[in-house]
Formats: sequence, structure tokens, C-alpha cells
Amino acid sequence: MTSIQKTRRPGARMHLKREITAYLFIAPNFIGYMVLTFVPIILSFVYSTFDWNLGVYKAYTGIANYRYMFFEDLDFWKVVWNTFYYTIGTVPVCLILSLLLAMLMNQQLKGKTFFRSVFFFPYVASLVAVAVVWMALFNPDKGPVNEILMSLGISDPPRWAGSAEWAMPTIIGLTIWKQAGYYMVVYLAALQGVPTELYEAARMDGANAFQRFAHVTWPMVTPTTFFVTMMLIIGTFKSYDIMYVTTQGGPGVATKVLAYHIYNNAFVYNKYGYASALSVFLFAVVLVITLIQFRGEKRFTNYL
Amino acid sequence: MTNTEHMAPKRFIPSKAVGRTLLYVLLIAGCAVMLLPFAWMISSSLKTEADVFTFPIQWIPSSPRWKNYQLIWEKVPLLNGFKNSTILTICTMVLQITTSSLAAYAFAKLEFTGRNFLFLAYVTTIAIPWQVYMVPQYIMMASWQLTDSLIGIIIMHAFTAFGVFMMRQFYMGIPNELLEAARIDGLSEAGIWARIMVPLSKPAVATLAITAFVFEWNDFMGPRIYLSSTSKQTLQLVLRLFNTQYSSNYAQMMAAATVALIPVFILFCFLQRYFVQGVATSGLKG
Amino acid sequence: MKLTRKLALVLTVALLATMFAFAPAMAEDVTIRVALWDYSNTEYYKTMINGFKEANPGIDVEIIEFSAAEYSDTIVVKMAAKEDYDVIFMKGLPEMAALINQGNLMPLDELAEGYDFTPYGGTEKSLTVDGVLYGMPFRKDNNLIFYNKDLFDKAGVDYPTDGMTFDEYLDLAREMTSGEGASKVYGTHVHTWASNVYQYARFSEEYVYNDASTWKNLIPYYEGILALQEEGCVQDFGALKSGNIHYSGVFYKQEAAMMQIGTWYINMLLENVPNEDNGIASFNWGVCSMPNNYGITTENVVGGITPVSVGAYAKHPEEAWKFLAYITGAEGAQILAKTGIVPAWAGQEVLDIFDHFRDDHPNAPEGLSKYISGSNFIIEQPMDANGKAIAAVGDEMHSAIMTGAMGIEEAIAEYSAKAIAAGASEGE
Repeated sequence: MTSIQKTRRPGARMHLKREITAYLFIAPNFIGYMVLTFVPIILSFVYSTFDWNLGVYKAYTGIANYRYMFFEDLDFWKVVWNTFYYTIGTVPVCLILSLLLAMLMNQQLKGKTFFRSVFFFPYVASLVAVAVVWMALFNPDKGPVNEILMSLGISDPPRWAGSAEWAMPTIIGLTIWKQAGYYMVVYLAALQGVPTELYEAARMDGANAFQRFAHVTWPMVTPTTFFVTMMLIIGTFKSYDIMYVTTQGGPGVATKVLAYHIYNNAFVYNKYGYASALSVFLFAVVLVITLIQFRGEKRFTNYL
Repeated sequence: MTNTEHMAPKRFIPSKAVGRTLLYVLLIAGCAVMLLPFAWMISSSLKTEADVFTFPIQWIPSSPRWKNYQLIWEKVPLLNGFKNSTILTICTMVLQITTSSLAAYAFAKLEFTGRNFLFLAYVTTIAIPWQVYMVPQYIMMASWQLTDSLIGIIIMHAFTAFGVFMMRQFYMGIPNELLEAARIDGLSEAGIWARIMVPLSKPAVATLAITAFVFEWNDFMGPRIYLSSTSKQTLQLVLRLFNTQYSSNYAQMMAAATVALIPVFILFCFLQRYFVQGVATSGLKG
Repeated sequence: MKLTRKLALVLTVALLATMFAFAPAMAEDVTIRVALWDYSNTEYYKTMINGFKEANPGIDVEIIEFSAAEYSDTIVVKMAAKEDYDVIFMKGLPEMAALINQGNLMPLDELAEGYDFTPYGGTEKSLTVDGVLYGMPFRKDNNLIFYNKDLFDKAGVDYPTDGMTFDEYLDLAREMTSGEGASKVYGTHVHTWASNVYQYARFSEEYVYNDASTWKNLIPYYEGILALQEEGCVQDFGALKSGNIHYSGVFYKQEAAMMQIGTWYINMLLENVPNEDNGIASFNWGVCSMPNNYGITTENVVGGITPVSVGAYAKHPEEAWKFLAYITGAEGAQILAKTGIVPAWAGQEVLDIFDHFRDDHPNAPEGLSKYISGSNFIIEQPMDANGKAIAAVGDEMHSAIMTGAMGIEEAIAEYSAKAIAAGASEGE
């Protein structure tokens, strides 16, 4: 697609005009984002080299926060591990589930408007309500899930959020439950953009359902998959409220994730400089993932 | 429209019928699970506080306490919360959709120096938790006298990277040939955006609208840092007032939360048809 | 010419108008900004503020309310932007220590010169850093064992007594456990906070959170509570936590015969037992002091203080001080005491109120005053600049032990090291 535009460039003046047009398009959002978000982010990056207690005491300490992060913080590596565990447990399942649901809702199906609304529901419901119900379902002593497991002959079912091993899977389940319906809607919107002709053509070529998915649907929704993947990864990396309303990072530190650690350091321990350093680390990880994804997206979108 | 099933000739295949039935059973079971939080909200809102957390969950309260729905308006400034949340949500939603979709068009379909770098910067900064840059941001906004004002929150939330990212991904899917044809017909870039991109991206706009709405409507962190006057409190701030340091009042909180969900539902139902509105690309495609 | 005259006229009028508009304000009217939580739902704040305004005409009070759960974090951010709050309430001493450390609270020594601190029983001393006073004690809440007299009568078991040993307490909990399923009564209730275990050790001063070398003294208490949990004499920690179970309901619904909790629960019991509308039946309740192995009875009390301070960027510190003196003094204290909340100001008037709750509340015990007036008030978490971080480590350890994720000794070894990293002392 880029080659077409390049060959159509009649001259430098035209080129400049195009550039200006493009900048005008991004200007309203960009200026606002620049001033209100970029600048504070840069400032917080600067603070990552300071020891600041959010009060009058502020001292430049160079890389001390980073050294503390990698070598001295007794929780850091555990927290990083928890974050990856949470992300890897959540993202693929949520992605596949939401795409499947979207494809299903895109079929001729009686009552699909109803199903669609219902599946979207946990996303809009209050987090407290969603968390309370999920935790009640998985209550270790009297929850219905464990009652079913016990009636199936499992005498010692998992203690879910009440045990260090199962707390994270319980939270992963809760996250998927709350989010899948939302990404279903995002995918549904993307599926509307897939031209019907492509399916017809594929059908005429004798492609079966799976081949139609592999050669039409999947490539056509790639930009959305990129978006959904990134948002899920970023969302799980930034997640802190789900732990806050359920386990508070426990038992012990079993569900303490990076964002939770950042929040605690900033506002509970008042080590703002260190919290900023942690978020620079988070930023770096996401940057690497985004770059990898970017490459993938470029390769896929070239098929378009 | 994009539906593939009705193209197939209608034949009765037994295995297919069994599959369908199974599918419906699964879907209905899924629905039941998805509706549980809602059921819990309603059932709790009709209980006394002492009964809310009894176990196992009593889904149908023995003597529904409708009084809760009356008390919530008297105990906390709920109506005021509705008013403030509505102003905030509508303003940020409209601004987000407009600015995001303009910027997204440039990122998806125009070429300019630094495009990829800027876009990368946009996407990766989404990952910085707000709690971190909220402090310098708050100090900055305080120096501009924009704290404790709805305008402060509106401008803080109006320009999102998320919206740009989302709209760009949808715009990527719109064929370039369509735009080239329009350019040849003499349409300006602004014209293309207004006449082609926006109408074609209705599902995306609807998705962004519901995302922005749900975010702003449910946002608690922003208002709790920025708004301190009682008269400016939003719905989510008001909801928190039911729980005090030593006692909780989930029954009334859930009654208020249920009422607070109504606008979200209305909006979702209204936007429903856009989620499934197919893009009629066939006619436009040269 | 004409224009200048017109302009002069306009200016004069404007000037006069401004003078009239602001004249009374300049003379005396001052509005102090007060940051607190739970204002909407707490009657006594409203009573107190009205009383203050009546006693101090010319001083108005602007309320800035934040929700209870997020209050402390919100104040930290607000103060980072140097908000001009005149009065700041705080949840406890670790929070106060952090605000002092950040330079966000004003020293009160000058303002408080000549003030009579006797009725505070020395609690104000815990609000000083290097001898400088930074706040006034507003409430003080100490921990007690609450028990359900009716359940004890029904079981024919003697009521718990002041000064019982920890083992006697555990055995009493075993004895009082009865029934199955929905009608099960647990011997005692251990809520999910770390303080619901460490408070026993803190009561006898074997433990203090910011000295890691004392953490090992928690071992017998954890062993005792875990044993009760295994035997089914208390509700399971994991189930309570995932079920979001609030301790108040457990005791209201008579699902537990005893419960260790703070004196604020006196206020809750007075207001809610009985309460037909909320499905709470009538029962008689009593209190006793914390069990311990040293024969200590009511002379020790262990608990927290709710401090209130003047903000460092206050515009009206003198009026703010007047406000502090009013709400933490005799007037404010009696308003608090009438609701069953223990004020830090402990004059005879307050003690009398606590001794006579039974007159209006037949379910309450007589003679409550001796349980709130112990001469040795042990601060559960004394002031420490790193207090919030150390306390957070303690909370993590608590959930690790109570869910059985880690053995007691192993957890104490690991987490006391973390506490030291967070700034706790290593002891001698």
C-alpha cells in the first residue's frame, strides 16, 4: 500500500501539503495528549532517578532506584513472575474466547441480540459485584464449585483464593469472565468490516469452514487482533483493582503484581521515585512486546 | 450481510440439528453464568445489610426490602452524582470520539514523518499506570487551577491514546483503493474522513463510544483525586460513601449501583444495531 | 473627557461595591477547610461541627470528604500538590508519621501553648516527634473481647473473665463451639486483619510491629488461632476473606460466642442490637479485657488513636487549632461518648456516660468505663516514618500464615527480614 502513495508524489510542495494535512488531523488529540499525558509521564520518568517521599524531601539518586529494584527489593522478581503468570494465563484464553463468541454472534442465531447483551454484561457491572460473586462461587468451604467437585468424588478440591497455588488462577478466571464480552464486541465490530464477497469466493473455491476462517476471517481481523492482544497485555500489566478488591495481593504475595507493587510503593510506602522506576520497567517490557507485535502486524497486513 | 450461514442451501442434517441444540444449551448456560453478578446486585439490593453476605447465597430474598431504593436518594447525594457523571461522561465521550478518529485516520491512512515513532509512543504509553504519572499531572493541573473542577477531568480524559489505537486498527481494514478512488474524484482528506471513514466505521465508533462511556461512568480513581467538593462528586464517589471505616452497607450500595447501571444499558441497547451493521463495501469497491 | 469621567464613575462604583461586598468578610468571617472521611454517614461529626460553629461565630467549616477505604492514599496525593487544608483527620499513627515526614503537618507547640492536656491521659505524647507535637488525639479505640451473654447462659458456661490466660481463652472457644450447618455457633470470631492475632502479643508488649526481633513472639498466638481454625472453632480465614464477611454481622447474627475487636464496636452494638428492621434479634452482650499469660487485666489497653492535625499549608492555623481544641476537648468528647465511641479526652463526664449505657440500652453491660480507661495505653502501631510499609509486610505475612501457604516459623523468618528491609529495627 505504501508503494502506491510513494509513486503518486508529484513534488516537494505536494509532499509538504500532505505532511501538514496529516499533522492537522492528529493535532487536536496530539496536543492534548502531549501536554496532559506525555509531559507528566516524562516527569515521572525523571522522578525515577530521585528519592522522593511525595513531600518536602526530594534528592537525586541516579540509578539507585534501579539498583534497588533488580538487586535488593525482596519482592521484585516474585512480583514480575506473578505479572507474567497473570498475563500469560489471561491473554490467550480471553483472546480466543472473545473471537469465538464474536464469530458465533455473527451467525444467524435466534436471540443473538440477547446473548450479545448478556455476554457484555460483566464488563459493565460493578467490579465489586463481579468480584463478590466470583469469590462466592469459588469459596473454599461452601462454594458451589467445590460442592460440585466434591460430589464428583474429588475429596480435596482446591482452596482457590484461599491458597497460594490457586489464588492466581482464580483471579485469572475472574478477569476473563469480566473482559471476554467486551473484546467480543470489539471483534464483532471488526467482523462487520470483512466483505461478504471474500467468503463467497472462498466458498466457490471449495474452502471448508476452517479454511474460510484461516484464509479470510483471521487475516481480515489481524489489525483488531493486534489491538486486542496489546490491550489485553497492557490491561493485565496495569491491573491492580481486581487484586485490590479480592485478595489484596495475598495469600502472602501470591497475587501481588507489578501494578499493585507500584501503587503500594507510591502511596502506601511513599517511595514515589522507586514507584516511578518500577513503571519505567513496566514501560520497557511493553515497548519490547509492542515492537515484536508491530513486526507481526506488518507481515500480516501485507496480505491485505 | 456478513453472515455466511444463510448462503448455504437449507437442508436438514441431523448432526447439525444436534450441534445447534448443544450450542444453544451452552449459550444459555453461559448466559446464566454471565448474569450472576447482575442477579447478585439486584438480590443484595433487596436485603438488609446483615443478610448480604450470608452463605450460601440466598438469590431470592425472603422479604424484599424495596425501601433500600428509596433510602439511597436520601442518604447520599445520588441525584447530584448522576448529574455530574452525565456531564463528565458525555463531554469526554464526544471529545474522545472526535479527536481519536481524526488522529486515527492520519495514523492509518496518511504518510508523514515520524508516523511510526509517534504511534509507538502512543501505544506504549498506554502501559504506564495512571497512578504513576497522576502525581506530576495532578500538581500540574493544580497549578492551572483545574483541580476540583469537572473541566479538569474532561480535558484529562478527552485525549486518549487508547481511542486513537482502537480507531486506527479499524481504519487499517478499510481498503486503500476506496480512498484512492475518492482522491481521484477530488475529495479532500477532510472530505474522505467525513464522507467515507466515519460512515464506514460506525461499528468502531459505537465500540469506542461504549468503551468511553463505561470507563468514564465507572471511573473512580480520577474523580477521587480531582474532585473534593461535595457538589462535584460523581456517581462512583457517591457509591463509595455507603461503606464507612468500620461498617459496610453493600445492600444500599448495590441498590445505587443497580440504578447507576440503567444509563449504561440504555446506551448499549441503542448502540446494539451499530455493532452488527455491516459495511457495505461491495458497492464502493471499484 | 466624557469617557474619562464615565470611567472614573464606573471605577468608583465598582470600588464601593467591592468594599461593601467584602467588608464583613474582611472583618472576621473565615472558612476553615476540614478533610475527613465518613462525614455523610456519621451523625456525630455533624453535631460537633454545628456545635463548633455556634461556639465560634465567624468561623465557617468547609467539609472535604473522601471515602474511608481510600482516604489515606488520597490525602497523600492532595498534599503533594500542597492543598491548603486547615484540618486533616488521619486513620492512625503510621499515616500520621508519613505526613509528618513529608512535611505536610504543622507543629502545634506554639498554638497549643498553655493548653491543659491532663484529660488526655498522656495519649497526646504518642503524637509527638522529637518532642514536637503534631496533632491532637481525637478518638482512641482499644481492643476487647466481646461476648454474647445469652449464648454463654444457654450453654451453661461461665462468662470470660479479665486476665484469663490465652490458653483458657482458646479452651473457652472450644467449649462454646456447638451445632452443625446453618445453626453452628463458633466459639469465637477471628476477623481477617493481622491485628486480630498480633493484638494479643501487643497487649502484653511482647511484640511491636517495627521491631523485627519481636516478631517471633507471635508464634504461640498463631499456633493457638490456627489450632482453633483446624478444629472448626473459628470460621476459616480463606472463606471469610473470599466471602467478604464483615465481623459485625457474624456477632449480630449470634454465629459466634466471642469476638476480639476494637471499642468502636460498642457504638455499633448500641445502635444495632436489637434492630428488627435489619433482622438483628435482641441479645445481651458483655466485654472483658484481652487474655494474656501475665495476669494483666484492665490496667493495660491496646489500640489505636485517631489523630487530627493542622495542615502545613493551612491558611487559618489559629482557627484550625480552635477547631481541634473543640472537637478533641470536653464538648467534642461528650458528643462522641454519647454514641459509644471512645474519645481520647477522658474526663469524668465521659466515663460516666460509658458506665450508664444500660439505662437506654438494656442489652449493654454496666460499668464499661473501666475497659476504656486503663492507665497504660499501648499504641498498637506507634509512630514510625516507615510504619505503613512495615505494617504492609505484616499483613502479607498474616495472610500467608492463616491460609497455610507457609509454616508459622518459616513465614516469620522470611517476613521479618522483609520488615527489616522496609525499615523495621532488628532489635538489640
